[in-house]
Amino acid sequence: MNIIVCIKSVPVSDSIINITSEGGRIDTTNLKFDLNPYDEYALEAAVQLKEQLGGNVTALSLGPESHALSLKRVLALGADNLIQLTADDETLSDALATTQILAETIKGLPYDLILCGKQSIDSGNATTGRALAQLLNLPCVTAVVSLTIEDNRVIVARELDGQRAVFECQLPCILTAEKGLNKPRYPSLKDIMAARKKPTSLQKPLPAETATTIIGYQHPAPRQAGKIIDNNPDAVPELLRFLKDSAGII
Amino acid sequence: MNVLVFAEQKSGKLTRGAAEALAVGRSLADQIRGKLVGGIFSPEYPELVTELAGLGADEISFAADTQIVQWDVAKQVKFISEICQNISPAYIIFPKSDLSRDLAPALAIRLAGAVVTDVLAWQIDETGALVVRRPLYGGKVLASVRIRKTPAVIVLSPNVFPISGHRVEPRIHTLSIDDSGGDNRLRLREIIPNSSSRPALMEARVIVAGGRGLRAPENFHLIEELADALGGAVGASRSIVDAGWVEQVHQVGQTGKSVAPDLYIACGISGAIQHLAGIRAAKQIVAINNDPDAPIFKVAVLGIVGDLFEIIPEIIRQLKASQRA
Repeated sequence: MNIIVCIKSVPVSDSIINITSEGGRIDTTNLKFDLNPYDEYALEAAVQLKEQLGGNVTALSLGPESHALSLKRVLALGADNLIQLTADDETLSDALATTQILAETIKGLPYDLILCGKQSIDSGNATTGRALAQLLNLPCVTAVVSLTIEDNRVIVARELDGQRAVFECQLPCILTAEKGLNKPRYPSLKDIMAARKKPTSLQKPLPAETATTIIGYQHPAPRQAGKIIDNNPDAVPELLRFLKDSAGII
Repeated sequence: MNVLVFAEQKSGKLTRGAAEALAVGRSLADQIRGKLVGGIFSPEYPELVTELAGLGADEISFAADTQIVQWDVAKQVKFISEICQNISPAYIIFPKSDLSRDLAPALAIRLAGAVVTDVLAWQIDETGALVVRRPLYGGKVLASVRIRKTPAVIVLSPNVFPISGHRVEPRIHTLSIDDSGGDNRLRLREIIPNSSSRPALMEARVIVAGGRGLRAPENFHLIEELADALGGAVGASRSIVDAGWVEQVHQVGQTGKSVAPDLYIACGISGAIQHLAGIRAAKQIVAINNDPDAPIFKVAVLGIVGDLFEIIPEIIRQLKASQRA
């Protein structure tokens, strides 16, 4: 089974994000990058399927060239090869342009299944998997929390308005991974050594047309801290008054 | 230039997000001097027409096919693109939901347009282009995005835009969708209903959330009981989800759900930066924590420093007493 996993390198979730003084860019100088958490679930699912059924896992990323180091970790986590695509910042900030580029590359690769994270934790559009499916004319289920294979179909579950929906979907298809799909592994020393011999390639694909431009960044207005009280006999009545008068909850 | 709003409904009632999207659609249509069209499925609910008319739709497009079910994304995308062929909207507005996360990107590709999600604010700039503000990094930064291409699919953040009523007499179009639009490669096997009667996190007006301060998984019932006393949903911090105390669907934060309730009560949650990013859109935050230096107090409108094992039962007791009174 040939599986493509679309991955992205993002600032880790406890990062403080600074904006350059002129407001025009995100200051990435002190940011620590790692694999997008949702992509880790997608990759783990791919590697588990490969271990069960045989085949090949290709990790495909699109991002700045400088992300190469943080992406190579996917080879220790079980991907067989890594294709790193690069593009300029304007293209990378446009949800559909990035998807078009990924789709063009995928068309030249063999695959039975494409896995993506449900969303990235940086731009957070949650559009890539579904838009890819539309471009490649593949069926798609997003935010899956379980995944098994029966014959040439996947059986997947996802949350839908607080309920759980179970789908069966013919291969080839696209799935996006929700947290909880599996428990990503820690690579062993052997995995890390083996990763060094795995093939990687860096490609500059043709640019895609962008539909949006980011014209500025700002931090949200900070919240004002309110009243802090010690737990005394008046604290809970004060909370109830707040719920009634200010929040209008009770 | 027209505006289409996808008016999502559940069991015959427009969702709150749909009403918010119609309000945005109405003022956007007025600014660009176009019509506002509401697109909706479910002809079995004729009262939805009245509801849509009360929210300012100039026209309403109904899908006449009762076979359209909520999960069938391919068919719904086909329906919406047929409306788009008729009215050529410049902007197609969706409320954020499980459904629109699937529909919006698929539709944008089908229409060869643009898509922007989680929109928090909008304006038409001096060139006539739509500029929107949206969160990045889970809400740590806001980006202003100029949309240079139409049609553009716009997904709104929930609980940001006020609902407003405008009564107009809409024209109603009924569209018939044939069966060819569905995707027979994908089949729904079963729906497992939620056994809980609590509201879903994304729709809740009140969320009560718990963290490490609960000390052990068996104490999570305190969070559930307070949520039930307030008719709210239950949330959890990343650390207790990762520890397996609570299911992942309850996780609030940058790697969980970004929530936007009217009131968020954080109990025993210190306020890690990725958690605070996910509750930035909450209207009011209340915190209960025994550490006076916990970062959560910096964003709380009201904070109680103390032992949640004493405070939560006392809140529930006094709530029940006041409800009886």
